[in-house]
Amino acid sequence: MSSWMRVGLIIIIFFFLALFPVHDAQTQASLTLTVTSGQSVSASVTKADVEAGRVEILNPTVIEITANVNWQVVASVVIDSFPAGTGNPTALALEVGNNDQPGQFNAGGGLVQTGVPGSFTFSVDFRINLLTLGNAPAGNYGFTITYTIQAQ
Amino acid sequence: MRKFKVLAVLLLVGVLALGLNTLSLATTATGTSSVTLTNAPIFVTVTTPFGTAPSVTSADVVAGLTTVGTATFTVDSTAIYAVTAVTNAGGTTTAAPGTAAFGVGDSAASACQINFNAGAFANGDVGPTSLTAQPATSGGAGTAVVVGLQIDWTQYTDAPSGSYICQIDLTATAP
Repeated sequence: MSSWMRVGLIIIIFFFLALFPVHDAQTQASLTLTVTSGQSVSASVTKADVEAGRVEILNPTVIEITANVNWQVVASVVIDSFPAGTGNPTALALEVGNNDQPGQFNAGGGLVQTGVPGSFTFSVDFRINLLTLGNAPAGNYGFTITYTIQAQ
Repeated sequence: MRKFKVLAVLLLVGVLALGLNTLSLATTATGTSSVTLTNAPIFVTVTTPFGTAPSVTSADVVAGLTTVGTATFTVDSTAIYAVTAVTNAGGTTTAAPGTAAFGVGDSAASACQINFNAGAFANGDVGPTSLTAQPATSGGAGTAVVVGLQIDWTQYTDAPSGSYICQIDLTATAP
């Protein structure tokens, strides 16, 4: 066997070892995400909310995840409805809490939580920034939040 | 040369296989929820009520007016709003002694005159005092509205001794 053949065989063996089965077990991410409670959350504005400039809704929605790799859950927000005469509200009015950084809220969504392989249940905090609503007359303001779990 | 080509093809296949396998990292899962905010945008509170009722002085008689004082209301609103204040709305508490007599078209309601924020007084006969297009107060302590009250004795043709009561109804309205 020539030296070229030996080098080729070594490279081929390397690739196949890398592909099967160890590499496959490490990269085949299996991720699930379920909103187990708080699928529909509602709140009403109070006088204190107006003075604070925001409505806080803490821990209303619970998410259960399973993952066999390091993971992260991110949220994205869309605004579905608002009353006529409102001053151009956007999805940025709804802020989603970052559980990795308590007290931090991200306008329009963002990182919710990260973790290691396993099964976990955690809640999500929301905050509605009244200042971003502009003129905010009476009525319902509807938001939909999509949570996505990804391998890190 | 043939061996070299075989080797290159094998390398290419290996690289492509690695690349395809890496695509499995894009596995994701999603879920959704919704948040609904119900906004009743406006709140009015009495911060400082009218003080002790004054007694009529001789100077008041000469002037034809008795200044009662002011009350302060606070308006919190997420929306642009308007404020109106009227006397005797509903007619439940605005009153004068039973033997009081009024000029034509006048009443205890028109005798109770109000203003906003030290502005001009409005005769209750003319219509309610109002503030229009007030800015939203989100993120602040609310806006104070000072309501002044005076009794106009010229509305009476006979104002005997007794208690004269003025009811002020203040309404803040957002669309």
